[in-house]
Amino acid sequence: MTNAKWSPQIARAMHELSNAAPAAPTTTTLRDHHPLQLQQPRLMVRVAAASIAAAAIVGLVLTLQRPDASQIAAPPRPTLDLAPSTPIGVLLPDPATPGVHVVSGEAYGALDESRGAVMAPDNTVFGFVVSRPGIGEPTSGAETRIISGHGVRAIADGSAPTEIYRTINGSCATLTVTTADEAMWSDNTLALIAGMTLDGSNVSVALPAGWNDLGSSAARPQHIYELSVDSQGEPVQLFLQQMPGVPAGWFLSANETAPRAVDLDGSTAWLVDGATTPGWHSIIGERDGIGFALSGMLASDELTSIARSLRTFDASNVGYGGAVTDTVADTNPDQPTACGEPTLTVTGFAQVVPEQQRDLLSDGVVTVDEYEAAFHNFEACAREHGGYVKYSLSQFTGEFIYETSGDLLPIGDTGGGDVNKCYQAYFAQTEVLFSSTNPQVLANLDAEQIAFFNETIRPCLESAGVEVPDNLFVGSNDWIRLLEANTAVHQAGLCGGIPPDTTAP
Amino acid sequence: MVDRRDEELYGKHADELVRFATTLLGPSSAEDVVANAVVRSMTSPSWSTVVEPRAYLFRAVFNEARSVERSNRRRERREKFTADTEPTEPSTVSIEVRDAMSRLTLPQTSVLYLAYWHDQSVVEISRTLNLSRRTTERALTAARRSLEEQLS
Repeated sequence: MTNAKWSPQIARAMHELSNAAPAAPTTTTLRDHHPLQLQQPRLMVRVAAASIAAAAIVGLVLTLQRPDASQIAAPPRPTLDLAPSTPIGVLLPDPATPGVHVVSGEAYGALDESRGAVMAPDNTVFGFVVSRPGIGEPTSGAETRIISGHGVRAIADGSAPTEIYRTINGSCATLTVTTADEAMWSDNTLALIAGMTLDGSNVSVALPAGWNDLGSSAARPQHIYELSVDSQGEPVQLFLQQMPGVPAGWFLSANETAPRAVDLDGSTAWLVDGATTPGWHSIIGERDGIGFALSGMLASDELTSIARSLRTFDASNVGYGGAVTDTVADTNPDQPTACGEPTLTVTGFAQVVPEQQRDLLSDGVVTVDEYEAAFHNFEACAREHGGYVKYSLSQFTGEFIYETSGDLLPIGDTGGGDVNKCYQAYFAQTEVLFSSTNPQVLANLDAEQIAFFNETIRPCLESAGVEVPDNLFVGSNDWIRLLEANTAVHQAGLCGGIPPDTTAP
Repeated sequence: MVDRRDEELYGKHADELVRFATTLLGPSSAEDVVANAVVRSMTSPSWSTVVEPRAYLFRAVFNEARSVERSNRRRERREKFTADTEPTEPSTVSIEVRDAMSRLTLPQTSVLYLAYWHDQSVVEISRTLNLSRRTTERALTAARRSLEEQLS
């Protein structure tokens, strides 16, 4: 359970606290603890009357919200073989570097996720993490918005408020967009999210004009070395994390402060400071095809100096100054699902924007005139091909509200009928960028959602006995609670039900 | 809770979850935190898709503790304006340890707990708590340093 690596002070604290732990609540106690019971009492009473009058409250909630467990097949647990078939190169400081010692090393199997980073025209770095769904992000304190059809839940890291996580949940993948020192819903953020597509476990990012791709990759087996550095007579512990075959962008996916580019012997590396731990710094880069992050309580220039000394060694033969190298199995591998591995693809502007919209989008801004012109080009194209686009203008946002004679597919999918081909060629990307960046749209989006709520959802909820405040704000706790209530009411078949995905994230 | 598999799962991990919650917030809140976190998790629509329920429950307790910590801070601020502080309950935890632990952030305490009691590596802890690797490393380093300084 414990070993000699822990000091007596830490052992004392851990044991005193552990010994003070009360007995665990029984399952009976848990039944009295249902948090939803407190949040939605009136709804629960109505639903109970309409469905299973005799059911206990906890059982009822499960009936409403939980899918049939028998439909979920338990996937087989995978086996993991960490033995490398060929020697793996690892980065370590040159043995001639004075005062630097390798203390220990560990090898890990690949995580089941992809990561990457891109840079906005103003040099803000955005990171991506594409992982499997099912691992819940924090649910309290999050702000939710709908951006270009994506339900985006954003939250500041409780331990590092400069880090913002924006999460989009798909059926087979969860995409998290991270930044440091960037507003939660900045223009850059909106433009970037507008260009994202989730298709199963695959996430595609179409970069707006002027953005740069800093590299992305699926995770690969990694090595983590602990180094000890003699700094002004004191030993300082460093962590050297590395993955062969991944770019620096992989390690830029979550940082407390904005990365600063530095030259590392002709290639670009990135310095990151610790906002919550003063004195903590990292340098992130790529050398000999190996992405790395070197971190610890050491000044940036000293870290950079050590990073410059990194050389490639054979991992199976790292007898480095008496260093101990352990290979440890990943004891907690993710289980496979039918979804496949999460992947991330970043494509540049010219590759993804159809020729007909390229001039409109080249400056990264869509004016109202450009938006209207693109729409009318789309409408004319559809008409020429025997279809139609019926439309009106939103009184709140000025956007076109339209229906078409054929199905429209996700952005970039040029299959389907002629109407979709017209949509993709003339309007799709222009619409996304306009809707996610135009000030009038953004200023009135909430008003439009509130109006829709008041017109269609409020009467239904109130008839089901749910208390709805007069004044609502999009993204507030009341708003989120009521959208969840709408889902429950709909699933219970009360008052005809409003499909929950009309406004819910 | 009505599902036998959930009951078995809870029975298997209840003690370690309560110990975890006790380390984060102290013994008086531990039961409530665990109860709320477990019920919230097991009644969540996404619960049946969770592939690592144990890690999920630890994260749920962690998130619940964050929420409780925020409301505790609000309550303490209110009480400063209204009445004398309520007498604290008897505890087997020494004042020094309580004081030293109170200087740690919740993530620091969580990371230290999982590293100490569960012998988890930084990678495993970051996965369990859904923190970035470097956040986890920083938290562990800062927690060790702070406790050693405070209790030496």
